[in-house]
Amino acid sequence: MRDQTGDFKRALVALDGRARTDRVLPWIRRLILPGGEIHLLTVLPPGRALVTPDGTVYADQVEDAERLAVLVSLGILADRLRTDGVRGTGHVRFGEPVREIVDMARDIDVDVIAMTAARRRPWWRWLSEGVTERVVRRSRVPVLIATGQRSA
Amino acid sequence: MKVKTVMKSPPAIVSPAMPLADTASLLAVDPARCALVVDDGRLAGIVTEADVRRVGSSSIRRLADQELRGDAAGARVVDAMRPVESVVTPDTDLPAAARMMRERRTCALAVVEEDEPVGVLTSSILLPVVIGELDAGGRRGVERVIAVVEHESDLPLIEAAVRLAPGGVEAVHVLPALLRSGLTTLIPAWARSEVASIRRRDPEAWLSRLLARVPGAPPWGRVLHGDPTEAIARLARDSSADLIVVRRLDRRVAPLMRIAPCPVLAL
Repeated sequence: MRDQTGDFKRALVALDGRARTDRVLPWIRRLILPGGEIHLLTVLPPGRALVTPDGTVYADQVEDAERLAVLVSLGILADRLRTDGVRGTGHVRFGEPVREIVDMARDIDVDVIAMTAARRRPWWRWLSEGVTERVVRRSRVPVLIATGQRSA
Repeated sequence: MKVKTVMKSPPAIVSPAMPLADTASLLAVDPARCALVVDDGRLAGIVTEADVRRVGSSSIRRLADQELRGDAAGARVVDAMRPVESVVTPDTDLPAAARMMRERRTCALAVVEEDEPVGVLTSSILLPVVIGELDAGGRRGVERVIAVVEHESDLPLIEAAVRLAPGGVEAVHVLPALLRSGLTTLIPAWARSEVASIRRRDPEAWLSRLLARVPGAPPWGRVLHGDPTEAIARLARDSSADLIVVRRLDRRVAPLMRIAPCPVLAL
């Protein structure tokens, strides 16, 4: 574990595009040091690719459109953070959410990962571990989990 | 923090009829670079270095020199002063005063108590305060944190909680129920009491000894009994905690994040 001091200068906030996942933002804003950086990440499922008989691969253009749409909404959140004195940056990745979140946290060397716990039905929780639980287990840095029950 | 802790008091006082050059000389040595204009015992306005510069020359010192040479005769405080649009009291909170300065687009506020001008607050006074806050790692922060302590190795967790909420940490150690009530009958009575006494052997003292090793930590913690997740969530709810700090690999993280009334920081 790299940082256990509670001095968080750089945070990675994982958002899945649903409005309630934004609830973690005010909390991480309260914990991050002034002048800190908040990286907003949305992980999307990988787009399809078309391979022609001659071997040419065409990436699905839907992926680019989705990336653009998410970046725009992340940009709005980042602007809001900037007016609050924190540097905000939006990122989009395609792939398996847990791996992408943990990898990005390592790549940009963050002090903390922040995310909102998803509401899941008990039987589904029993069947499979959620993204948040798996990130907590695999992360090498502290994880802030907004439970969504109280606003900051 | 209140205005009275940082305001410049007593304030420099000038009259509306005072020559601007004299005011310039006064402001050149005044730490706040700001004076209150009092007319017949009443607060009539406020004048700053910038106001004087706007009316006179580009420098207060130069203005004073010009006055000495007779270049700028005639200019008076009344020509440069601004009316007092808003005042604060010594007990006004500093962030509220700073917000007022920003909203009014002014760099100086008069501090008044019972209609008496008692001080001035300027942006140049506020700046060192802000810098001090930044140096101190100032952030909006959280006020009340529950630190869930399970082992001796949880010292860094307590330290982190203290840094996040100095003076607002409650350390908690939960002793889980030994066995479900239906199974206790399987244990002989003598063993039951023996096991219970071992599990409850002065956990409060253990927690206090642990906390004593962390500067700034509370001198004692709280020992709860029962289902750990429910006990912690109930305490967080009752004490209006802002955050629960728990070990990242603690098996209670997953159930806690489902029922906790506040965010959980898994360190």
